[in-house]
Amino acid sequence: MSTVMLDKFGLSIGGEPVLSEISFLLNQGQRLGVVGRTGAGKSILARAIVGLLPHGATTTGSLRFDDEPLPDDGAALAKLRGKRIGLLLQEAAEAMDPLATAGAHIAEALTAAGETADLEAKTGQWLADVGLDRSIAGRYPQDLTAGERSRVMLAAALCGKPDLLIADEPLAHLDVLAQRQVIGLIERLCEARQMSLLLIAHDLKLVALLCTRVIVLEAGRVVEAGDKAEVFGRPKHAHTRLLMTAGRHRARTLMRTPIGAVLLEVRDVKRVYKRRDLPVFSPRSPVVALDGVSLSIRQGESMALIGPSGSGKTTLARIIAGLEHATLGELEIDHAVYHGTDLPRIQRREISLVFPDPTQSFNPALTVGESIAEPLQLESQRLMDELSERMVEAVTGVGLTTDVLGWRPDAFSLPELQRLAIARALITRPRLIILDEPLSALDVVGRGELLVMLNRLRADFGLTFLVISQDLAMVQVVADRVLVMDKGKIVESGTPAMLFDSPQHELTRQLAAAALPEVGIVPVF
Amino acid sequence: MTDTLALLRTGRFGPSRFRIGAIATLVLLLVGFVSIVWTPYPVTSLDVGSVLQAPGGAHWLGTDQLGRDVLSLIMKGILTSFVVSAVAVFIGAVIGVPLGWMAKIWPGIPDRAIGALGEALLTFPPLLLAVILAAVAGPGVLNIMLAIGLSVAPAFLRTTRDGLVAIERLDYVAAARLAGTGRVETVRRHVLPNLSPLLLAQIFAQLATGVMAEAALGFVGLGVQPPASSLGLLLRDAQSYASVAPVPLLLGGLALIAIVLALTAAALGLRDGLPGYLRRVGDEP
Amino acid sequence: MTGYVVRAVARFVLTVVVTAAIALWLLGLAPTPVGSAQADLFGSFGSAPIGAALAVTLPLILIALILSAALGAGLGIWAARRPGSLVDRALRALLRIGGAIPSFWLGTLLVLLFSATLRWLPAGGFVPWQVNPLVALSSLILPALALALPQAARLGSMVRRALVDEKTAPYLVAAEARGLTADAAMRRHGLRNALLAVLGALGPQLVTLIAGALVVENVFYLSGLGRLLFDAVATRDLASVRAAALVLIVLLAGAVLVARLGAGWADPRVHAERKA
Repeated sequence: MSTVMLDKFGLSIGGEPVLSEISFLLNQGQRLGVVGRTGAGKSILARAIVGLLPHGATTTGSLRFDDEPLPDDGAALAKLRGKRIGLLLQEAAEAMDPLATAGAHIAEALTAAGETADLEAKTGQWLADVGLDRSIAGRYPQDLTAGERSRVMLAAALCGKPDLLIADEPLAHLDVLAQRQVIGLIERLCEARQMSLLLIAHDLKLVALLCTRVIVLEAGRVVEAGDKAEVFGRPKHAHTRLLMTAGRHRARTLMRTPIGAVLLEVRDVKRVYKRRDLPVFSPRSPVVALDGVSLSIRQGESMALIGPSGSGKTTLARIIAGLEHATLGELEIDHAVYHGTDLPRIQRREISLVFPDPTQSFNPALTVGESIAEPLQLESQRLMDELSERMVEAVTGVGLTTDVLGWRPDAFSLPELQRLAIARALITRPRLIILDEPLSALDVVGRGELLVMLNRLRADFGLTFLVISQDLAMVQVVADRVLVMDKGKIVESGTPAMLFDSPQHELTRQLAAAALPEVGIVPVF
Repeated sequence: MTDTLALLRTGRFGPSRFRIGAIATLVLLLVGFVSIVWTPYPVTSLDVGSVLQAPGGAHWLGTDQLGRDVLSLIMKGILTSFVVSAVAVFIGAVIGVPLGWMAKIWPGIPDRAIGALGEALLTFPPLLLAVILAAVAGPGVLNIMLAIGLSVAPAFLRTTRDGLVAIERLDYVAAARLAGTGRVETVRRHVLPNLSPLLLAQIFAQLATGVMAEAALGFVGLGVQPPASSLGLLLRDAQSYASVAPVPLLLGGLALIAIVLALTAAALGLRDGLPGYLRRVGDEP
Repeated sequence: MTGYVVRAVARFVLTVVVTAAIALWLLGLAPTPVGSAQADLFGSFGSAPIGAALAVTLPLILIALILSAALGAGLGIWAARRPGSLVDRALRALLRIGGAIPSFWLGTLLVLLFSATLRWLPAGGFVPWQVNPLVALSSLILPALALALPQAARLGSMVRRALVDEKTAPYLVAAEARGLTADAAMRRHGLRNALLAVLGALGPQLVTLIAGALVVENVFYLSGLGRLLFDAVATRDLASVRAAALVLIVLLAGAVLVARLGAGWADPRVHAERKA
């Protein structure tokens, strides 16, 4: 029925080669995973297969769909995309027409696929299938979260009952539970309709779960290809091995700092605020971000906060760090009681915060050196020598050299910038470092490297971590204790092993069940 | 500011728009400044013997109906255009930026009140206010400076307010607060350097508006009064004898267009250099 | 939608009140010339001049608006068809230069060309509509053109930019991924967003147009609101200045109101407000 065949396919944009010598065959019902680092060309490949190339792109070699080259005629190509191929492009959540409702997007896809009857009913059904409430159909993108938008676009890609689904990072922006739902849906459809799948992901675990064959891209070339068991079980190429070790989070080092007395205590903290962005006369009910949270962190411990989006994790982190203010309740660090923004200056240097996106957390007008040195003003007057010593210590501690200090943020890659963000967090030799989704902006290899570094830093400097994450595998590696949050409350706590082996609360059960199995340790068929 | 300076060197498409605009503006400014100390002929010298001469010979660009040298008139006119709009933009910024700042730091009722004020001013084209001021105090330079200034103030108000809102949301501002940086210092180090390119772009854009407004007001007699010269007055006079000597009319208009284009190019070029999240700031909500 | 309309009208009323208050206060500061009576505010409204003036100015503005909208939209759409092409670059330059042309200057050139030299159209003056509508119309053509051409250039730039911005928007690629051709995607999604962007920025443009109309009237010796206003200033007739200024304020604020209502009407999100 539908086959995709590439033979020595190459693509150049503006003279620069982006893909070279790509060959593979995807038959009906097969599931192929494409893995590689960011920038390897995975997404462009997806677009090339459906003829959605940017301006100035030239191709070499052959690309055939169903034994025919892609139609030249725009209308025929569009029809092909509408009826036969379901396409979910990268960053789909940002690709919605702001003036069209979610339902309108899906209805348009249905119409393009020729399913013109019962649009409303079908739209509602598809929304339910991807785990969304049917009322979403009438809402506009501006009122939806990224996860909801992502799923609407997935529904639009699937609703035309395509023979082939090309999905580029389908789990982006989804929390763990939603991810499981989406994976289940794709699996079901592949089984029931023998739908072919071309899955592009940087997460090897996802590929291992859903696909039967894998190709590995590096810098636009296929460096390894074959059955999943072969590629993941006995990787031949160095790049494949690199991806696998990065994706597999090793067991923690045994060099753990001994856990000491209580460092931070949070007592019954509530945070309520009124939404300000609505027009004047609409009724506003206050948002309860935190609803009576209590916890304590001990010196040298590494605690993780997990939970679905909106559970209050980031709000709690910002209150602890002193950026926001608790409406009720109190916190105590080092015998100093505070409520958030009234964190005394002396204690401010004991707590640091690392933000999720390093491109937003550095002032583009300053050199990274100036940004990293900024927290040093919290120190009491010291000699210049010691301060520059600190800079050296911080920068080398994260694996970079001091000559990068004079550069500006735009000169660095994402993983390097995040390291520098951690260096800035280290500069005051704090006792507690809060990391808010520290790995989310990085790809598989970047994450792996940073994780190793974080563990080493904790051991070397005797740090206490509070990590906010959705990545349960990461949490297992980095945390001594895990707190599960839902709707502003802590619903369960325990060691990672406890939580995953014998979860008590419903949410924890779901999160544990939703975690994807490891790759390479046990062969996954 | 280094980003702005960087723009002087390269842009996306060859020499950056900013560079072209800035250089053109500078050239015209120079011509204007030169006229302070020297013009081919003093503008006040009426030479009734050589009225309405065509370009060439003693008068490079010809003479007007009173025998004045057109080139000198244009040079002085360019100077007037720049001076008037610069003062007007200064007034507008001095009013608009602090108001925008206040709107940002006092959200809620003061924000809305200031917004309403800005809205009211926005509906006041320079013409209206100039007319009213002229009715009250007679036509003159000061009046139109004030009039134009008040009508460009809302643009600065909105740019400042929206720009501050956009910047304060960024993580690096929060990081500065965490690092113990005081409010004032945060503003100085983090907010201002990222707000200034935005304001600078707006300054150039409003200068262009100001020049156009000054010419229009001069044309209807509300601006600079004779014997001082402005491009508007030149065009007003040129209109009356255009059927016999169209050259001054054409030249005056072209000079005006050149100034506006130069300033606009610079403004657009600056906007090109802004990071994405700041580029739309200042557009109508 | 109703909430939106209410808010827009409220802003209109607020603007008029604030602006009128400022204007009246300023005018009140003027020393009254010896011997003239301080005509009361509403007295001067009853006098014929305002009505007759509006009969000239309003049609002029409307004609100029229609011309500039049609021409501007057309040019903008044409330029946006192939961004970066020769046609686009040439048009963009033309639009930029055109937008910098002062309407009053263009007016004098048009008079030179069409009236003095070619003698096709009247050079100025205005015959009341009741007397001879066709002649009245013909005397508005040149001034409307003088206003419309630079305005069309500015509008064209805006339209082009809005369309090009939308062209590169990710949602267009996603629409194509769903099975639409590039053209269909543009028609169904791109145009609407571009229209909204343009409508949103239309208010200040209208204000400039109206102000320009007052000046252009001067060039063509039209007895419109502009002539009324300038004469009143020249003769220090404060009562007439007051009346004309108030009318102008209402006109300007009204134009902004209409633009805003138009933008709200075109935005489906506004219509759905109730559900939010």
